[in-house]
Amino acid sequence: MSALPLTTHEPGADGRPGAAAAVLRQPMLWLLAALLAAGALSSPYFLSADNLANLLRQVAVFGLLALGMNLVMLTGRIDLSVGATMVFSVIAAVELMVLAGGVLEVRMMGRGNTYVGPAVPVVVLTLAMGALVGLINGLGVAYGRVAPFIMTLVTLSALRGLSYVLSNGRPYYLRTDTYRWLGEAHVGPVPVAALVLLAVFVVFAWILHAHVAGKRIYAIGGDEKTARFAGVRVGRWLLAVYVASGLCAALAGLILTSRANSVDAPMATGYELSAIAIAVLGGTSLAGGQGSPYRTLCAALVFAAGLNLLTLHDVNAWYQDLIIGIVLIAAVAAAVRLQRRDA
Amino acid sequence: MNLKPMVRMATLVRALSGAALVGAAAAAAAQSSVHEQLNAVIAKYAKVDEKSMTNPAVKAIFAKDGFAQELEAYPVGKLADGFVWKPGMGASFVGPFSKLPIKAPFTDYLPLPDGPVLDPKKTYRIGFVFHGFNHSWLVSLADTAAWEAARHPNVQIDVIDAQYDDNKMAQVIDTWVTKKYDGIVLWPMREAPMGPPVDRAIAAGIPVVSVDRRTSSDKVSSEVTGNFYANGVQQGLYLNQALKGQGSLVLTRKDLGSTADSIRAGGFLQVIGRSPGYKILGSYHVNSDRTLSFKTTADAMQAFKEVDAVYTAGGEEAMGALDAIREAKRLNSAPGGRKIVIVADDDSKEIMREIKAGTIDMVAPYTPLIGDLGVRAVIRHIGFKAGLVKEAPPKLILTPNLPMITKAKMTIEGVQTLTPDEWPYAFGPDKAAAAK
Amino acid sequence: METTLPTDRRVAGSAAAPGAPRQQRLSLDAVMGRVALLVLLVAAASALQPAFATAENARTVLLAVATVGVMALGMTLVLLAGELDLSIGGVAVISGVVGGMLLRSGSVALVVAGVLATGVVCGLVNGLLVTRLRVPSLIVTLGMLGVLRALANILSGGQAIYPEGIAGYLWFGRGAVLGVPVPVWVFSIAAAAAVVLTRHARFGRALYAVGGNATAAGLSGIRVDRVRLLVFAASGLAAALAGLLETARLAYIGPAGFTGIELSVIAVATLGGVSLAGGRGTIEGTLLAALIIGVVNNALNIAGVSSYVQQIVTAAVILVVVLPDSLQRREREA
Repeated sequence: MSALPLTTHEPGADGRPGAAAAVLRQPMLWLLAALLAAGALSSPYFLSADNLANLLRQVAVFGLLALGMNLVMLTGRIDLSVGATMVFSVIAAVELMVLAGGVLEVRMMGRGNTYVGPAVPVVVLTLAMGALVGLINGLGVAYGRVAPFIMTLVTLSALRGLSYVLSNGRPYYLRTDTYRWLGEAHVGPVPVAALVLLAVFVVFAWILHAHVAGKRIYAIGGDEKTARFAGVRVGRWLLAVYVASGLCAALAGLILTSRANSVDAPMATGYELSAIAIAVLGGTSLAGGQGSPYRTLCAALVFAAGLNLLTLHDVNAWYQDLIIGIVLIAAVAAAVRLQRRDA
Repeated sequence: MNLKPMVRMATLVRALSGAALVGAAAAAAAQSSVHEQLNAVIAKYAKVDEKSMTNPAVKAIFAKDGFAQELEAYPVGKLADGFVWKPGMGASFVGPFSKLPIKAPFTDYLPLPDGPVLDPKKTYRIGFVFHGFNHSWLVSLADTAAWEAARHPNVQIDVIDAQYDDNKMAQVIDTWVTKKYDGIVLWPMREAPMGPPVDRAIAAGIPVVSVDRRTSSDKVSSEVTGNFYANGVQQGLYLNQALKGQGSLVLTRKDLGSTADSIRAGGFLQVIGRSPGYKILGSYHVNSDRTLSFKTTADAMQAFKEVDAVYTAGGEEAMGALDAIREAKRLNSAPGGRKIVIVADDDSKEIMREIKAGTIDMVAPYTPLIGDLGVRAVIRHIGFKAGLVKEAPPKLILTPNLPMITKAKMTIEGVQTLTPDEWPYAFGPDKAAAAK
Repeated sequence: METTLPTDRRVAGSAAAPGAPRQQRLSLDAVMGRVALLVLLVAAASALQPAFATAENARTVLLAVATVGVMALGMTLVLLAGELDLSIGGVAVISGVVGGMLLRSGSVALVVAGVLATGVVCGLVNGLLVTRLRVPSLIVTLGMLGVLRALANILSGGQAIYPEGIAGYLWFGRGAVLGVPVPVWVFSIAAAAAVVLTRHARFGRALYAVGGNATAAGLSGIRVDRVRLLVFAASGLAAALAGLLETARLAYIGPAGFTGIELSVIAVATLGGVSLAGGRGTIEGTLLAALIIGVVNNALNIAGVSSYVQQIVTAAVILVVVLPDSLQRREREA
């Protein structure tokens, strides 16, 4: 087995014929089925509408982070700042609105740190801030050539500190019906948050499989030198994937804070590591060039379903951590073994 | 077997406990209204606002960190059901999780007898969710909750650690709502994000009680609150007495924006704010982290060569700060060759030892042993909802203000302090015993 | 013949050709740059804050640096080999807990041996999982972090242990030899050992070769997997040692300690010029970086800057130092 994979992988099918067969062959899908079965058998509440809705909301948050992470990892990079971006982008958006309110002489902040201004601008600004963070990460990685681990670790640190400094450690309450819609509304039995995840997934899947962007991104991850010689504007694409990751993080932040009706500086601590774990669980390679949003989504479902099951059974947190750590290593080991066997 | 030493031992023990009981009774008589006394002191200093502070440094911190709003909102008042607490009250048992001996002070507050509760044919499932199963204060909280549940054979309690993730705590609560639990008790790390899940549980008809910290939910069935205000105020009182309004201070505080920081530091600053002779050398946030407190205090000892007092806001931080001061050999380096005054909160056994040794000067107790109160409150709410109990517990269940603990007994502004030997409620592992 | 796993090793793209001398030559510039920065920072801090420039404060800084520094030494070795170790916080905690359980034996030697042995064992487990299962080290060590912390909680029952009664244990954190605190001695000796290891003809070359291009290294006859096992074991040992120093200094073994330390340690190593792709960087650079961070934190504390602002400043310092390095390099970095 050579150290440098010289071929770009066919997105989704991994060189094997039959898209439908490929869709069904994923180990993650089987694991998910097993978990769902285990859940249904072991608890009468697992398949209840309420529980599934809760599950889907968690999938939405972690799934969005993982989809963005997957995109970045496809180019062989990583983004450690997503957790911090989730919280920072909302806080920054609120601060900007308060600032704007000061200029326009409109009161944006009510008693008890409750935001009383319009919600839609906050949503827009949050996404903008997420994209901005992604842009900074991308500039550092693509043009500053700073190692992605370092660059995004730097942004992680800076954003966490800034979140506390900007908000003075106080939460902002975001209670308007409009703001709460993302995290709390349903379309039938399905939470809106899950539909947002689905939408993003569809967009990413389309971009990666049907659009030339996908070919470029996989090419960069597969063999960057060759891609560069072939005329791929690597820098631009790196900016794009980091901005996309930042947007996903901002979106995840909107959903989380919408459900919590507030944004608070310590939220989402460590979520970046969960996002990485989910992406890797879904077969995304840390080296780049391998992975798909479909498998990432499956992995996110597995992750959320697993945690949901552990919570339903009131499993002690320490044993949960033990299980999660072992499962992570075992699952990736199994995936590696499968790959080697198929290669 | 030689019985003589055992007999002598027994006599000695009886004599000692007799003496202790007499001492406690005397203390009890003097402090039958400790809660009211401290309320009065708090009321006196609660009037101090930015404008009336004559100390510019104190005023600056008070204004910048926005304490006034939160101090105003912090519940201060009478105890529920006209309960009167005297030191010495409460049950002793072994903590189910920590396996340590515990004497919980408020087991007679909103009492519930042993045995089945409400409808004896029904099993009541209660969820208790908190953070930090490996933090001594928090484990003690869980201990008392579990103990209370164990007293009633038809109560089943699930104790879950959300590991400092508010989103996770919300998930746990939502799951219990799905499983139609009968009651929920929570220790919320942060107020804001816990409001919605509590609201959802209440909307589903499940009573919810918060203990110690509060949530942003105004629909919560009851809030068992601690005595942060009495903590900060007493720390200020002690400092005024020890330094007489003059001296350089280093502040090591809880995390910015937390209720613990706002009320303790806020109350403390209100008490010292009208003494222009205090100088605030540095104000640090050490976030309840022993190591961070250690390193920060070590640096502060280098930055400031003349320190009269160090304010710490919790047990872990106090130990970290003390150890750093000792490592730098600065314990007796206050101007005039005096000892640096250290004031702390949280009555852990560790801190009690330091008070006895004279290294930490004063601690204002903030007892974690209130989980049982939360469980009893939620049981009563369940009963009230089912029509089995006449009266629901009040929305605000204040825990009694606790007097500060000092090595030698003293009276400060009418409040009599207790000595460590008079305080049986200290929590956590005991150093000497553990080091065997 | 040991081959490399395409996934993890690709993390660098094309790295520099193997061969210690070139790495070390390039690294000399990086080291001198950092020395200059350190001198500049010390000068600035001394000018702005007279309290900074005392022997006692130097002692304080060195003591604070010792723990992270020791861990960074282990991390550097792992990074040089092209791997990553996120589990060090977990290793520190569980080896501390194991030591705590051995306290009742009354023998300091046994306790210390237990602590260090636990560290080495954890490191070997990491190494075996990476080399045998071929799972990327980021995943292995991330999973192990969770597992080890959970085990530490379970073993200790979530209770802190006080090593108070054993003077020998506390000596590791509070003792002094010839006026220099023991942790500083330990850090210095560990640093010297690490320098010798990386500069040693055979092992040093093997280490840089494996980090630079593992396939080529394997083809040249280097026992790649053995090198990997060694560096993970070293990192585990370093983590346990750092845990010993800190718990001895605080006289407190808490199962909740060392949270989030892995990222700080990686930050120190990368600040020192160690490449996350492997094969580039020096122990000397890491040492300087540890001192730089230590000086910055100490100076900011003395100046009364809040810990939240300190986070931002530290991040900026890292970026400012690393950027010129990376701009110079022509190859893509991971």
